[in-house]
Amino acid sequence: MSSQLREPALEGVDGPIITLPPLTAEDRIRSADRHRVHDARSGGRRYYLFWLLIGPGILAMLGENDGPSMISYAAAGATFGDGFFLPFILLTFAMAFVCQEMCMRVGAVTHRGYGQLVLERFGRLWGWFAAGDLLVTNLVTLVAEFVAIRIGLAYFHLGSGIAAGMGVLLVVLTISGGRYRSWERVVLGLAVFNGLFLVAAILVHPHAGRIAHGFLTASPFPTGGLNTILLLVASTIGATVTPWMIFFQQSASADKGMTPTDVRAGRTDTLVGAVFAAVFGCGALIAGAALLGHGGAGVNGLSGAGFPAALRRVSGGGAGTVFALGLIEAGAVAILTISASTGYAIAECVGAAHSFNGRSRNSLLFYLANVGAAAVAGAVILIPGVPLLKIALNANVLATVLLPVALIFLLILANDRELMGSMVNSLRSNVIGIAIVAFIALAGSAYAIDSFLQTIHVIS
Amino acid sequence: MSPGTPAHEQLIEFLERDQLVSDTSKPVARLNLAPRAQAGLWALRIFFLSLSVMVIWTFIAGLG
Repeated sequence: MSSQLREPALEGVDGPIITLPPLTAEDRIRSADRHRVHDARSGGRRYYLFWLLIGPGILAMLGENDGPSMISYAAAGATFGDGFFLPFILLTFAMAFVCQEMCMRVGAVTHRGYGQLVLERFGRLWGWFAAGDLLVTNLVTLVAEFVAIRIGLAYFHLGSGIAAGMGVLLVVLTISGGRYRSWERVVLGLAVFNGLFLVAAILVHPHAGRIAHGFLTASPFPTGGLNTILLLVASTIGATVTPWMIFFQQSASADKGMTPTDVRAGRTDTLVGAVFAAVFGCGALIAGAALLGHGGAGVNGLSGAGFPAALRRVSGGGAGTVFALGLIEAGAVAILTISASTGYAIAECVGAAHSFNGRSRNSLLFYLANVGAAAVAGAVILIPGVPLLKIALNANVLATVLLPVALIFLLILANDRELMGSMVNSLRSNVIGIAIVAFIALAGSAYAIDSFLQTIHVIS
Repeated sequence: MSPGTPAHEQLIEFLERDQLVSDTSKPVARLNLAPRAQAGLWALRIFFLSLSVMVIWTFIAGLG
């Protein structure tokens, strides 16, 4: 059913009759959200407007400060110190900002998710490849998130059953609101606690001069085997820019109802997220660096309390407790955002409804994929003897290796004038974007090839 | 809410036309990639898939 409305034209002249399309429940909820944005914008309430428009950027960035990422940062700090990695983390978040800004812009202009656009614009095969890559990396990463929660809970003498149950329950509870806005605000509230890693860094009493020296000189440069350094570089990149972020931010921007007029606010949202995530990531690195010179005590015991317990021994109970709570938060927020990206990708690629604003019976596949991905990953950590540390570190590396193809499609979409009109990438964005793809491809390839050749004993 | 009512029109007013579910569910036109671009994408796809196999192989070998 549709209705008719006379479109306004020149003053004193009636415009043509246009047909109004029918509205779904999803449209009605999104319209209410846009009503608020419209009122805030027309009333000149800038801060309220920004408050309404923030979300996808901050969630993508802080969601990526997830369990395996924080473990990677802390492992880098405990193994090599923080000198080189402090500016390197800033560099990787600058790269993440460039990529995520493109996702937000494409989502706001086209009102479509990444999976849907790749499928429709490049064909079913490429769409399914993209969704398949995402499903594999998301499942591995989700397992790593449950590992992080388990490590955090182990510090408080709680087991993996609670970690698995808590993660899945959180997904079910957050999606039950039936609105994108309520889901986003709950996850944003949880993401604030990513700041615990900054508190942990302060509690280990780092030497301010050493940190400033690290930021300014990127030294001391890590020493050790080439493969170990490549692993840490690849996993640090994978800790910052990943395929799920691309799917998530573009789909969430469209689901939130962002439009081209919101692109500036979306850019600020992404920048704020990147800055916070970089600061908190550096916090995890600095906290981990407190273990340098203490033989990385306990660092390898990640199937137990691992890092938090080692920090407690070296820097006191406060640092250990805060780091443990931080890991629980990092894992929980990432479970929510990564499950959401899985739901978006699967539903978009089969043409099903894919919105938190959708009624549960209409968006059944979207909600089932959300919960199902978390449930499968949660079940893995219940298997006795699973190599949790290796999974956590390799999740980031796998994401790094599969990222360049996703980024190339994103670059093509962001340059697609038929879709983007005047909002296509600038020459500067393209140059930086291509450099980022090349850098990530090089880092991922170098690690994958070097470690493979070592494994088959071609090099030592 | 019935279509054509003021409430219906007001709801539509706050959404862009191409933002409605009825519009976003219509697929965008397929992009015609040049054969060289297609070949480039396939080459990249195969290359990065091979790298993934190497990472997974290394991971599994490391378990032993």
